[in-house]
Amino acid sequence: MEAMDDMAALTEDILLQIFSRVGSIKDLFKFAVTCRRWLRRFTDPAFLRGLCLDSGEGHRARLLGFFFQQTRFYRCEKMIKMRVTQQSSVCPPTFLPAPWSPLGLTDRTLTSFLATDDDTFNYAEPLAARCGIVLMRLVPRTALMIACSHLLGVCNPITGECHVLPPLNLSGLHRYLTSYAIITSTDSDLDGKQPPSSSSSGRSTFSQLYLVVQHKKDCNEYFYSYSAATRSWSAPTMCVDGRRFSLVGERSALVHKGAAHWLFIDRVSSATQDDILYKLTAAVDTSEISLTKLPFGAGGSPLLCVSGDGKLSVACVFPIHMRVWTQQDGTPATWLRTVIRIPLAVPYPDYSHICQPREKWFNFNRGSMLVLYRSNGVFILDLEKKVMEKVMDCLLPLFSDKLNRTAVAYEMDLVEFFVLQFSGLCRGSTG
Amino acid sequence: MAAAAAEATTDGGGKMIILISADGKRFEVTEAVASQSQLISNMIEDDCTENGVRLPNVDGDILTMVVDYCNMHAGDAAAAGDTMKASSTEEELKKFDAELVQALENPVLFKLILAANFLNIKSLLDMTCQRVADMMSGKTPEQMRETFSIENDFTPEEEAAIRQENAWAFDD
Repeated sequence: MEAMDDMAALTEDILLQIFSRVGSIKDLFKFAVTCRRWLRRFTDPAFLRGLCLDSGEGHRARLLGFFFQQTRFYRCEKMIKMRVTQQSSVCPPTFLPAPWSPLGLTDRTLTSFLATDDDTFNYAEPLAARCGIVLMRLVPRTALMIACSHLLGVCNPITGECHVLPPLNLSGLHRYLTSYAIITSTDSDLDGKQPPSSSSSGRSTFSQLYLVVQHKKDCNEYFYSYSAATRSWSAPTMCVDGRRFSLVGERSALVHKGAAHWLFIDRVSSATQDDILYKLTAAVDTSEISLTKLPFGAGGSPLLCVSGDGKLSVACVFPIHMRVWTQQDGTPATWLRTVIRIPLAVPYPDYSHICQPREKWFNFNRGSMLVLYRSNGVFILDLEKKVMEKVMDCLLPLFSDKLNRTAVAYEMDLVEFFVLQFSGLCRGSTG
Repeated sequence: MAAAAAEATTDGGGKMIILISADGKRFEVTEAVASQSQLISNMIEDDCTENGVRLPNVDGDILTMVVDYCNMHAGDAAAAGDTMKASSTEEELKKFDAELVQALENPVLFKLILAANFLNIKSLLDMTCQRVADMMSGKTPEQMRETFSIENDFTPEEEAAIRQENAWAFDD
């Protein structure tokens, strides 16, 4: 016999209308744990999908907003001095929620991570985000540390999970962060479908951070991995010849089926012939690193994405069309070419000839890409349906920025989040 | 001929519609007032409102509130010509709406939501659902149980496990 509460009288349809208005994931979470009946509702994927439906179907529901930093920091003497002497509170990143986002600007947890000032740092710039976890570059309060280390922080503004990583020391040599990958506890699961059944809670938490760092001494790219469990950095491994290869596409890795991938271009052969791309892959379970030549000519601006049927792809973006190479099963892997005419031709705005706003493409959810399109708004391109949908108005402060400030798309699958978060509890409460 | 006879009940400019609650109370409202319900509006369009519309799942006291709400809100369209009047009406409406939902006990509020949903009155449904959503904001699970009369059927061990595994949701 179930205990019936007042809300039990309401229909499914009405409940979804109410819950989609709550505006805070935390409040919904706390409601879900009031009793078994509500807990069961909040672990039913069909119900949860209904809850996210307000944000539109398909890919856009995943986009919760953008993080960006309003003040710029360069590692120059003047700015270092300014940061060190500044006693004011931390400059946290700004969050711009998507119109349907259940994370409001006022959501306390978004800034609480940086609200408690200690002596460690006083500036945070978002670098990348994945599955609700944000990677930030922190600026320490001492000049020596700014000059010779990378201080990084990882936080999940929804769950409040946060790590300030031990500084990655530069031992007196300048090194540049080339690229990074946020790895979660569910990434080692190769088929990417089932939450691990052995652990008590299958939720996705931060587990590793991969960095590719260029050493100034020999210009080569080195691979570093950080483990959240041991709170330590691995010894660097040389992975890419920096004089011959350069990173192309996104700095943030595409993490797909248990591995992190980045694209590099062979500068030496590009000078004489077609662009030749290489894929740098780091396997999550073994930390094995490999550099593979891709068997096709690139062209345009290449970046990694995942096709609708879950296959690794390279999208070469041209001004009016896109060439997508999709990896097929079998060894050696063959790559299938498809062409997409970018379905929306928006003229360039003419207010600036000097710094013309360009479109910026991001890998997004499986089978889709996100684009900040010529200062005309945020769009999602569905690679299968070949349609482009406007999802948000223009991020003008992000886009017109001469300083090329990075806007980091904050995405998370809310259905998956609730199901994983409660998966441990559910097994215990079915009796 | 029957339709013509029904037309004859027309009172001045607006035809009157009769709504009948589950417990038999009758409410006579103008077409403009009743049309705020998409359900009734469709019935008017299909010309099948003669002899009154019986609403088998809306009680008289709830229907009283719905009719009050519709009467209040039917005014905004009529007053649109006079800007001064319209703006004061808008303020009055806001006050009326706020008082309507604030004062309600939960069971009544939920019945009003069900009625708004059945009658398909979007603005009333939005407002009432928002009220419930607001009631959930910033509360602990215990406060939510109290607010919504939810019985806690977790064992103390389960409750402790929930808190331990999801500390992020509980620290305020």
